[in-house]
Amino acid sequence: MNDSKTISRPHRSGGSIARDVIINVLLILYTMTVIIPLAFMLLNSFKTNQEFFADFWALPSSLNFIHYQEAIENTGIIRMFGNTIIIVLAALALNIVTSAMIAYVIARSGSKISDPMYKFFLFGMLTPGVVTLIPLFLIARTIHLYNTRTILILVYAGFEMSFSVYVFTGFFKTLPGSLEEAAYIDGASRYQTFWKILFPLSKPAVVTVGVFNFIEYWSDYLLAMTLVSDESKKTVSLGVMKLQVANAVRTEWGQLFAVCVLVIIPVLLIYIIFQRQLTGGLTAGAVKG
Amino acid sequence: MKKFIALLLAVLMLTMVLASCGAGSTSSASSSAASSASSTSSASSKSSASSAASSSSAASGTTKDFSGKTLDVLYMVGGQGQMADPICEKLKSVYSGLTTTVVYDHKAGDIMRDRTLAGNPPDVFDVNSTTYDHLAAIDEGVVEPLDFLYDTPCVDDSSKTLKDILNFSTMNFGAKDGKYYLMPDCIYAAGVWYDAKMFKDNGWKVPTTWDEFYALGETAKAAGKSLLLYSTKYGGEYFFDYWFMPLLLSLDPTGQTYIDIQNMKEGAWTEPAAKKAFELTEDLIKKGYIDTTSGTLEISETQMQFCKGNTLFYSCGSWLEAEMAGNWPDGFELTFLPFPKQSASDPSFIMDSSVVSGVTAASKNKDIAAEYYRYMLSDPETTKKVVQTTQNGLPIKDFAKNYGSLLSNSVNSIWTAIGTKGSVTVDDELEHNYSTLYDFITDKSAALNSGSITGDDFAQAMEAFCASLRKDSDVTIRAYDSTALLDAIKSAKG
Amino acid sequence: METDIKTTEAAAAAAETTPLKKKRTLGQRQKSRFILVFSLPALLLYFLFRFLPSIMGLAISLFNWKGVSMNMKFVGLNNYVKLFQDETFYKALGNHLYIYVLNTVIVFAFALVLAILLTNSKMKGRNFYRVMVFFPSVIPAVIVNVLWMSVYNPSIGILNAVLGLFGIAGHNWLGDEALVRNSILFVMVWLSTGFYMVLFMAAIMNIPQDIYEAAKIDGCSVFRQTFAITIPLMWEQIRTALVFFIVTSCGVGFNVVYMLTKGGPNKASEILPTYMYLLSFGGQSKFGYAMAVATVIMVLTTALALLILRVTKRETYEM
Repeated sequence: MNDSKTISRPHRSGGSIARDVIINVLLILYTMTVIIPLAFMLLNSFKTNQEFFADFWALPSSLNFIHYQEAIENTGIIRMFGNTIIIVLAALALNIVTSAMIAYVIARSGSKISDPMYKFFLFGMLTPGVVTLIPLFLIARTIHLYNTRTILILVYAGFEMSFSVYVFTGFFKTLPGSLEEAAYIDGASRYQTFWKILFPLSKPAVVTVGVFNFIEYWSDYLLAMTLVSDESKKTVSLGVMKLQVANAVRTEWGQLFAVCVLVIIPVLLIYIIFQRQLTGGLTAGAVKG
Repeated sequence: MKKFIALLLAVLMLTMVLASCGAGSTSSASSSAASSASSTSSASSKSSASSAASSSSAASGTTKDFSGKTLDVLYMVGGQGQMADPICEKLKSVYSGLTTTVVYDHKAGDIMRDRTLAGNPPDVFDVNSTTYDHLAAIDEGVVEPLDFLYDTPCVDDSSKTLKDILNFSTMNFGAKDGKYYLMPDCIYAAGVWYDAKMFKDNGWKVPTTWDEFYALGETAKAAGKSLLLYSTKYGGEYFFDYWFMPLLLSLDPTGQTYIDIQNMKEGAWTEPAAKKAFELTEDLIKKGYIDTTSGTLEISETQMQFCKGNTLFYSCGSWLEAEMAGNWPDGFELTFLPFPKQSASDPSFIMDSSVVSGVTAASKNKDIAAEYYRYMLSDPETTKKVVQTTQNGLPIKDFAKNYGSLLSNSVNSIWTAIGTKGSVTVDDELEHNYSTLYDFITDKSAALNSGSITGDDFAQAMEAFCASLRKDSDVTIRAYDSTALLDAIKSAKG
Repeated sequence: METDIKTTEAAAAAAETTPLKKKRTLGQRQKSRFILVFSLPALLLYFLFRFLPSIMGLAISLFNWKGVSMNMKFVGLNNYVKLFQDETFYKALGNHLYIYVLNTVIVFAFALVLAILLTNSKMKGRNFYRVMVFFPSVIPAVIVNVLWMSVYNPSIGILNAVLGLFGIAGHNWLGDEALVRNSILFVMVWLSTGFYMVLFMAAIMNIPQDIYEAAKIDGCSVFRQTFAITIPLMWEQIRTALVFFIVTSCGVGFNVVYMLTKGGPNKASEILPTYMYLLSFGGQSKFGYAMAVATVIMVLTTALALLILRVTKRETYEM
């Protein structure tokens, strides 16, 4: 791993000030396109409807939580939060454990099926997910799990397998073989070696996969839309969609913004906490190639 | 700092999970009653055998026992509101031991499809025909023909049966081989609307002929307004059903062009009246009389332009008043415009469209479903509540006479127009019969508004598209039964 | 495990020389069981819920299915025949290629340039920009939709308001046939650029300083350094990123178009995935036909990904 002190920076030559100015301008513009819509959304979630239509850009007169109340009442978003958390955590656990297991086999067993299996998973990275909706619905129906939280857990776990296997495989390949040798000498079985030594060591990969997949699962709406129809089992993205569809009929921007703020908060928190691991881990994967 | 955030997150998540477990099967039913967003009302409480053995049930001769059964009802979210609620409440008070579940969902069409495929369809369903193919469902045996409820006696007069009071001429959608499959829950009338107050304030005359209508174009422009607005984002409905069709019918009041189009007859779209309808609309666009920008927005925003008075006329259905409740400025007098005629002796054509419900063939509660309709249509107490909720029509004879007073002014204005001699109600089945037409017309209406095609192009495109439908072996061409329409035209003139 | 293999392989080799004794050793059986136990869960989940659905679509495309009941009629390749005569399909294909090709070129060019410039400079705001610019890629799709709806909205919209400050007239960004494609493209670029910029930055940081030093001593300009050193040494990462991008941008494009315009107006922003959705859940009830479109998408994307992999193959430089 590179020591940050030797991170390369091509030597600056003439025109560096111009370069700095250009990047600053570009990046400031980009940043503004990120911040302004988000701020707009946040501010206007606190304005009453009259305030909003009077002047979109004024600061709200006070922190009016009425839209949040409405949003919570009209969408059952609290229950959706609960559902989503259960589903996402379960799917993450399932995905991480099973992908780590198979990645270990692929990276270390030297078996003849390792390579075909790896390629099998890569196929999943080559095909877009949108084409799977209808068949997934049929599969869910066949195994009698349509419209359950379980099916979402299973589908989420299976859906993002390719990326997880890719990251874990790359990671396990970097670990020295001496670890296992030492374990075998001490009489550990293969299972013990994995669970007690190698898996705990793979924390960076776990975090990378975990955070990346968390965001995928939290944001998903297509799979949830296709596989679940009961109100009581819906996820947060569907709650936002519900209001968004309603907004087409009766303009209620305030409520819509409020529910978006609620839904984006967990993502924001995860992003702030794990931001380094997210960007770092992904790039580690990329560096391995 | 990060640790704190992590802790906060964990606590929040735990709270959510606990809250959701606690909420369990109860939903936010009570609190969402006031809103128009979708809600789930899980009315699964057993009703006590109260003195609800009221006079109405005594008169209806209730001998059935539905205890332990559940009626499963699925409704779309729309202008018809939560109309299943008063009916289900009544059913539960009459039949002790009966439970009902009612779901209102924006995606009711998808839910219907998914549940049917999963083998667990609802008993009674009412879904949007733009996302659910009712006719295919009928063809494939998903929907039960309504015959099973014809002999049910009416609540208010047990000498009559439902068959006696149903107005079958409103039930064309879902009629197949002489049987009716779909029951209109809420009949809208549609066409062009205006603000009577605006006209009075400005001293404008409400147009009765096309020339008068056209002349208002310049007047509108001078006042900084547009003459006409229709949605092109939902053009298959708003442009086509509520503007184009009335225009077409006014141009050929014999109804023949309309009938030819419904029959998918070759050359129908290039018949003189059809071509003229396209050309006249194109002319309005070229003159700048039509607000082409607002038509591309979401419905609520399009309608806001009308509420704000930026356009004189807006083509829509009679759900408009209820849908924009709270947005109407004081004094706005929403009124229906009888479509400008070519000559005073022509019939006045008013489009109607309905939200329809049906009973699934797989339902094990068809007898309960029969009671559902019985109370919806023939129980003065419940029917009144239904009409107050939907604020629109029901498929029963003498509807306007018996229930017209319950309707709001704007809706009353249109049902009055319907009740006036010389008026003919037409329900447009074209897009129901050929589901791909809706999209095609939507696209072309947007193109016409933006000027990328001419009226003539539009006519030719429709002709070509219908020709391809005729050639497509997967598309069934359904013959249009024109007797009802022709009779109505005759009696309107006579 | 490596040493384990060697010993058991040696044993196996020894066993094989006596054809009658093809017995597997205890070690081998245990190992096989281990491999089985550890592979099966992931394989099952993946197969059932990702792999199988991807290819089932092909089977469904050979039927006509209205989606209201399980009634499916076999029609062979009829759906494909119809597809290749379908005007809307070609329009969607055209939009699809326009948006996706431009999206790829713009995102990668932009991300590379920003990454190179940003890694080089000693600016203080570097981390701040990284965090800000990466954020769009983690925002849930439904919220992205609400954000951009409020940006592009002609009356309440942010964009028209900002332009108004400079005295530029507002436009109907999503309702105008001529503008909508580019409006969509802009959102897609916004979503992806930050992500790939960060990715590339890390790749660049892995290039050892000394190479640049050496180049500078040889009188190599910064500009040439970029093309002679930076890009070739990042090539593998760029390649992987490219393939990843081609596949994921399919879903990204679907989200953006479906939520912002649903393909309108007049199919000006219709792309293949949204057309597929329209044909099935969107109300036309032609599920078999929709799966034919899905198959085309799959074939197109996979072929493109494989092609890129082949075309960009280069010698890797040992560092």
